[in-house]
Amino acid sequence: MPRDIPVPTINRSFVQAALEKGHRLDGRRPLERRRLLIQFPDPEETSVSGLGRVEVSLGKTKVLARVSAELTNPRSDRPFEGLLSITSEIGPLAGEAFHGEGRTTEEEVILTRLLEKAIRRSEAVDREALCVVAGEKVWHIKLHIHFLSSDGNLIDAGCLAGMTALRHFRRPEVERLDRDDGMAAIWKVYPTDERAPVPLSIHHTPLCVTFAYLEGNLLLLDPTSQESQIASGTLTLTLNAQRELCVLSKAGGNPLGVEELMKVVTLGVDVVREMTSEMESALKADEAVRIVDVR
Amino acid sequence: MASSSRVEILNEGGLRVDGRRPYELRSVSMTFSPQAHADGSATMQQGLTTVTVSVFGPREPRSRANAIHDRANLVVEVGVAGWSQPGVGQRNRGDKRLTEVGATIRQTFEPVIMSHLYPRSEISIYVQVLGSDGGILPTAINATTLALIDAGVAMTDYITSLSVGLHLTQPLLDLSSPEESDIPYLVVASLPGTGKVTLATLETRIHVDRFEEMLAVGVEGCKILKAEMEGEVKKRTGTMVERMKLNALPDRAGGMKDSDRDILMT
Amino acid sequence: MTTFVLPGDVIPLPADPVDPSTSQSITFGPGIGASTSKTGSEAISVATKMGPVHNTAKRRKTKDGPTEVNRLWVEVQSKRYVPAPGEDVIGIIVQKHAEGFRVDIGAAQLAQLGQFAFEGASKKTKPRLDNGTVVHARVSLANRDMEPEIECVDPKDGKSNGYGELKGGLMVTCSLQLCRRVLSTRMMGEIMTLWPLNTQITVAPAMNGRIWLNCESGILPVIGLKRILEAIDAGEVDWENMDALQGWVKREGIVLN
Repeated sequence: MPRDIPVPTINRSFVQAALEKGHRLDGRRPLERRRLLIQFPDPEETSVSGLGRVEVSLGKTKVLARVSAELTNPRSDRPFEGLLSITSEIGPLAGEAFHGEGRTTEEEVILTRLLEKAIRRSEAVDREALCVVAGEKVWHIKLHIHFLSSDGNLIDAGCLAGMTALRHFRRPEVERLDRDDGMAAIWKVYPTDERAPVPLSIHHTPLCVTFAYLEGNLLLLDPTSQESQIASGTLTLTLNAQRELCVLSKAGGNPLGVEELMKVVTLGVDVVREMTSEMESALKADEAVRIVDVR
Repeated sequence: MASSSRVEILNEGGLRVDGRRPYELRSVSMTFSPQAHADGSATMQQGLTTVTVSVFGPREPRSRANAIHDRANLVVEVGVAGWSQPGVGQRNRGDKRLTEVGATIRQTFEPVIMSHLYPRSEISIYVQVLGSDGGILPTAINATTLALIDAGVAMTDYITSLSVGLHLTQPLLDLSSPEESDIPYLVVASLPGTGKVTLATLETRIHVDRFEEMLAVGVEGCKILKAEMEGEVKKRTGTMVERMKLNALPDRAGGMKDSDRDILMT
Repeated sequence: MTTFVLPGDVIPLPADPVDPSTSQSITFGPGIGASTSKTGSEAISVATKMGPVHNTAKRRKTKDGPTEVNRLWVEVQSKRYVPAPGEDVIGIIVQKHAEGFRVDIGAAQLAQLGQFAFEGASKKTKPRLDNGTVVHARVSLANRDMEPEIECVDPKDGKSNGYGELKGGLMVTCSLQLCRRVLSTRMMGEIMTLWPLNTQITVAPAMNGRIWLNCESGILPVIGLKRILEAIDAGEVDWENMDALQGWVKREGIVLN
């Protein structure tokens, strides 16, 4: 296993000293995000097949999210609901810290769980709308999140990529064709050039915001890899544009007072609002150029 | 989860499923050193939720790679007994949820344990859930605090933890299992001395405006719990001092100085 | 004119000297190897790595008469360091043990730094360096079968001559090529003209892709210089065009002081 090389002591104190004066090594202010880049596949080349695929970069952190759908039988205890599964993968590709050997690391487990909580448990996707015929056929929506490159704050990038992909995705139309000869019905999934695919019904758009805090209660938004190595703890909020808090996870690091914690939450509300509008304008721009309708 | 959705969270008389008032905590009981072989251990029972925590250490790290040159390495492992929850089978050690609970406990205690006093060593915390009726994480945290005190590991403060739920606009403290599966809730762990929050986790949707009140109520609840725990710790310390006195007296019966007596009497 | 080669390309050898009495010697450096794959039997020199071919042709007088001395190498673009004796490196102390320290120098193995490899070190005065300390050192031993060894003392006079612990400042990582450029070109001098003359920034480049920056008067010059170096390394700006660099600095909103 490659040894973890410690952050040099001088870098630690330099980052700390710079932050006390309100500067970060990449020129950002403490509560400034890195540049968010949302890229969809080329609309002319891919048109329908490119739906539900998105690459999000946050500085040098890069995530690829892909949504696919499949017809399956519903769970017996929930006949009216479709399924949503989220898989995330951080391979050795993402960075030296992720060697991809043996047991998944604690960091990976926590990341997957946070994504699960942020997107699935917060009921972002209307699962009842994924039902085709109750008790018989439902859609199984699969969201794959691949972390391509890691420079800190994987969770924010991953959640944003996941939600963008879900909102970008469209599933094909399906119809049940009963047969006269008493044989089992056929499920006809219409090719996308015959009937236009339909978007998923999304309840709300939860997005993650991560703060790191350093000694002396210095608060940082969107920490880079080096900053999170130095940080005494991180705090991740999942919020939506309706000012609802879906997930909050603060563990470790300096204990915060109630007011301090509330300050962070209030900051998070604004950040999520900005991120949502950036995401929506990216989606809108893509929608304008991507031909999905059947002519 | 779906089966309990008909539970009336708060009835017309303002009482909860188990007859408690909104801010009423469940009865707590604590046992120190239930595990003879551990360096420190404690069992904490809150209502029907029972958690035993054993602490080993500071000891030599089990693997050299885990040693940190300037402080102790904290290792937390969580196990849930198969019989503790109806309907849920034995959870394996590799279970993602348990790994997460373990990581949460570790991160909660890292800032209060004075780990720099024990360089290159390991403090292992083994959490075993014996009965579960809601609030596994808060009870595990409380039990860990007690076990660490029992083990004599240096800490800067207590950590106490509680769950806070929200029914309509009414916060409820210390949720039981049926409440937990029905209403949004948050787990708070705080340093009762300062009222600062070391852990806050929330997994269900709550409006930001409601959150502050819940947090404040949770922190207050933690203070009450601390008083309860401190009473128990003092009682135990009392018996220990008593025993020390008994041991000390026969030896020194003859030539005990006044100053010695003062120390013993306090 | 420099030639750009890809792995497997035949290295263009310098032409024979015009004067027949002059002999010629060619020394191959990094990125050049012998291969028979193109010719079948006869080994020829081919590039093993991508990059421009460099040649320093010099005329020297030797006992065999005038000689044209050629040194050929491929300017390799790489981020991993392969230690070579005599090179300056910046390392992070990872482990302490009885005989000294183990230091990460960005190579495949950790390097050994003996406790006596410091100026004036003896059994009584051992250097005390904690894990995470950054040291400037030179590679004293590097071969394929042993862990590399480094020392914080100049073997010529037993003095530290700038080697040793680097206190304060910031360690920046970059490509090996950038390090070489900092060491061998006017780049640093040109970049420094962005600052007023009285701003003193200490720059300690090392061959292993690490540069140490320090400025007594504040942190902003260090952050600014770090961002400029990173941008040059990433190919976003070019130092040879100072106007463009100045414009870039302004656009990016880099505060220099």
